[in-house]
Amino acid sequence: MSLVATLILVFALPVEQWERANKLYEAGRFADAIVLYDSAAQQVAAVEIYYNRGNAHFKLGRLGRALADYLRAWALKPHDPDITSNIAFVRNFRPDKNPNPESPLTAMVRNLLTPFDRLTTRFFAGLLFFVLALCLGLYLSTGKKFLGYGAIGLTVVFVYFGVGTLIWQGVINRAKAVVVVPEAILRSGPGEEYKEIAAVHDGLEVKIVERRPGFVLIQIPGGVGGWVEDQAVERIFE
Amino acid sequence: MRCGIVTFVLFFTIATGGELRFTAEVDRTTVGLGEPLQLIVQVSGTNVGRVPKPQLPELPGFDNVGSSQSQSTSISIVQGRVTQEQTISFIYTLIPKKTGELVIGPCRLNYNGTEYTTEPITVKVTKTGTQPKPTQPQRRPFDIFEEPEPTRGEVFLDVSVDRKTVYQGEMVTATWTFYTTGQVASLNIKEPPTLTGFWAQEIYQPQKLNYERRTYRGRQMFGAVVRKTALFPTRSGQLKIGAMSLAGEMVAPGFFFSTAQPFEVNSEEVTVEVKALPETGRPASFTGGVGSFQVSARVVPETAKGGEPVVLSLVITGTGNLGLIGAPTLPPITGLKVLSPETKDDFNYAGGRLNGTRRFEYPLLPLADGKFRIPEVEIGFFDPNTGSYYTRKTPALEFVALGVPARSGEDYTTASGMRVLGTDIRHIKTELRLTVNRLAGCESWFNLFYIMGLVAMAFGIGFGVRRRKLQLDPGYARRSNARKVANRRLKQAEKALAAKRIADFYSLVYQALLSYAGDRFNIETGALTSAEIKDALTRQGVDAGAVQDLLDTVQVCALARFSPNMSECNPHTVLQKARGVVKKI
Repeated sequence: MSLVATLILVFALPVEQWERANKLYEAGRFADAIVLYDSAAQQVAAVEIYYNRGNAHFKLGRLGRALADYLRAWALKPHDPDITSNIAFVRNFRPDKNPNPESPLTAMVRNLLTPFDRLTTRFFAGLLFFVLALCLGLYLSTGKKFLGYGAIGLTVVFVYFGVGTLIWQGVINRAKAVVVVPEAILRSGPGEEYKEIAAVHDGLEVKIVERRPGFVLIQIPGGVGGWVEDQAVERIFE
Repeated sequence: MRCGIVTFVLFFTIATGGELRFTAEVDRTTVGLGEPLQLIVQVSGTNVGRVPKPQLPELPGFDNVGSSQSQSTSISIVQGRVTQEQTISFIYTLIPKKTGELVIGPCRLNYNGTEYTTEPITVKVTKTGTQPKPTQPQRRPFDIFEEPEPTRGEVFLDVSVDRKTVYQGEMVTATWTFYTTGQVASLNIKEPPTLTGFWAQEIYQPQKLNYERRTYRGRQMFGAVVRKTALFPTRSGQLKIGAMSLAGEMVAPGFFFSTAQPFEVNSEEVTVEVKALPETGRPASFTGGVGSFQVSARVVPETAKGGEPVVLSLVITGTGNLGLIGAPTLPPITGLKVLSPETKDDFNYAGGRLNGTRRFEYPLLPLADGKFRIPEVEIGFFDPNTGSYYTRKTPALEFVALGVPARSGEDYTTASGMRVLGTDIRHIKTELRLTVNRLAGCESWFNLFYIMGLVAMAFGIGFGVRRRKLQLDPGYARRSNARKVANRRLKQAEKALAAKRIADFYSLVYQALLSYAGDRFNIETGALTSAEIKDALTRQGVDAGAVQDLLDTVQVCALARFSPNMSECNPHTVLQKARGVVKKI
């Protein structure tokens, strides 16, 4: 890390760090840029920071870390064309392809049900539930029919946002992780002495099932599971 | 049409001249679809040791599954003059891919500035596996002056096989041994054996016979192996190894000069029982390999730039019918175009078995930039020793393709003619504003919405139940509203008192108290006497003092309503007492 990057890291605000990191990126100093992006990301969870840091990781050949950052950015801004494009690019670029990729129909339904980011969807779902419950309570206490019709309409909208919230809960799953080393060996137990089961590679999205000191049990697409060193995978959503 | 002829020259044959001869032949002109045939390209001459490898024509109708090379030298002695001729044979094993009449074009050879070409050869490929008997080979006479006559000497040609029952594809070694009791001046193969149904590879073909003293048929003789061939059955059933015919001359000692006595000797036919490979347990990846094999793979280079293809080499090493192993089918890999593999062989016969490697080289063409992973490739084999199948896998390999340009063709050029030159991630975002979700810090408060909603709904349900009860139960409705109505009337009475409307004041207090008592206990007080009201309230458990206060106040109000001047009561006291009654009851 250069002296300039260190000074900026210590004194600069997130926006300034981000801007300086962008300049380092433009200059091809991707590792220095990542240091500043890391510092900015610790202070504020912003779409642009995750996205740009993902680009810097990709330029250094770190497919897993790049994909993790793109997915974090996508969770904050799900319909950003740059983010979705880069996610697709990295998924196509990585050596291990997903044997069961999401079908276009499933992706279309998911996009229709999640027009907003996770927090906005959850906020509207809660607000709508409150208004819906209030409307229903007033209808029950006063017997005014228009309040009943209002409650029915609000129920429909609430279900829409409620399903969106459930989808987001599935997407933003703390068990989701990504392989961040060139090759990780899956073993039958949490230790080097156990039999090797499979080898997975940088950028593969996995699910963390269990944690043990130094090892995690992961499940890879297709259902196969095995223990790998915990440093071989990075959790996407904290 | 030129017939296929194979001539095996041993030694002591007469050279035909000093010029280079370049010929191409096939071992048979009619072959079944999928059956191997051999294309033999021969270069003969007095000094052909350094000729380059001939150039084969395009063979679109055939798969070239392997090649081998052999060299022989013949030495002729005619009237004391020694002539030596070398013959180099390039043998290619071809498997036809379609039926019909297929033409093998002329082969070419450039040597010492001269181009030699062979005649084209037409091969008839039939659907069935019927193989015609090979045509008679050209005969190379021992002597250009006279025809040989049958020998009357003691010569034998014995043929032996190392096993009589094998699996399809399992190696059988056939050995032809020549036995004689006299001195042989010359010997050559007049007719090679017919090997229909076998893929044959020469193991031993001596340039000079090595005679040893051996016992044959109970007699001491001189014996020499003239040919040893590895045979791999390509189909099951009873396959015959045909008879071989040798012709030569025996030295007959004379008084002054020895003379040559011509002879001809034939071997017997040998039948081999070939068992079909079992259907059960046959892996899908089986491509015909019978024997003991290992597989390996590598990809070169590991980083391909500018769209250059990489080469995936699958190497099969071991002992068995290497030349009959087909190329395994690679699984489809996204973003890669797999081209037809090229086959390269390197065989030897160490230990009397066919050993070596068969290499399949697949050119892989990346269609876009990316890190590609070639998955494990499984190849199935049959082990004749155990009578079962087994599989071997290559390790998974990776390579990176960078700077892949758009290629000509529909996959890379759009309909408008625009060419895609490459792909990359989208550039970083440089807007000054950071997009931060303002709800990020409030997520835990979102649950309040649900709590407040549930509370509102609970209140609504409670009020709804009460409203329903008020509608259905008049007594409950009167009781619920009794105090409210009484207080409202007392407030009106207070206003009347303030306005000096004394009669109205007492009237309102009177009505307030009586209707309150009636509403409170759901009784009609308007038509009851004081005693009846007292009884009714007492039955409801009302305190007797409160009942008496009620009746006293009502009585005062009644008197004051009709005789206001006679009343000595203070209206304020009456009002205060009335409020006390409402509170008590």
